[in-house]
Amino acid sequence: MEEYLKKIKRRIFLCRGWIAVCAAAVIILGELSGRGILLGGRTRTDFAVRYASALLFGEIIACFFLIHQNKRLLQNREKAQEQCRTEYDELRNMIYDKSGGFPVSCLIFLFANGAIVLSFVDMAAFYTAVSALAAALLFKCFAHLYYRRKYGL
Amino acid sequence: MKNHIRELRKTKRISQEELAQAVGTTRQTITSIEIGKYTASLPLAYKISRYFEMTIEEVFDFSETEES
Repeated sequence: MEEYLKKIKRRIFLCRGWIAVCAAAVIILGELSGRGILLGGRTRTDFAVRYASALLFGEIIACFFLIHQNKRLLQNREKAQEQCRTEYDELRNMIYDKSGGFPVSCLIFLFANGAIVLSFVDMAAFYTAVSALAAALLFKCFAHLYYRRKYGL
Repeated sequence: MKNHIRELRKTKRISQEELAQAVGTTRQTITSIEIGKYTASLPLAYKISRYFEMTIEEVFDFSETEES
């Protein structure tokens, strides 16, 4: 249990760090987008601008939500124990692994955030990253739903 | 794989949630094991058997698996 509480604290620390990164990215992207520095005169499409805003603000909101949730777990040991059981549940972990697991989650994270950087370099690369992201998300969702039904979760 | 968890649970008069808490898993996993949709891992099967003070063979029915 103590190990799980340490994990929660690490998670809160990571979320705070990621909020700082996202906030810095919002400021930097705001500065760059008006000048067309990286695109050499070309501009980003409306979709790319909206995608970056939605993703960054979405990540910030998600991180605040996660911090709030995890802080509540730190205050309530019973809830933390229940959450620990859920997170270490073997059926849930097996379904997570079968639907791509950690590697696919990492890919989704990389595609999602890498697309923002790519939008400043090449719009074709940006659309490729977004398509790959959509494909990875669809795969993960369908696989997850399929295995949940299969194992009756 | 068939098992006798439901019967053993009813004999002991405990709920799925109580069994789940005792063996460190969730109620949904116990449900899936009971209805035979999911085969428990060896450590979980061992924990469940120990909880009922029985051997794994007494709780889980391996005969069907051996035949197929």
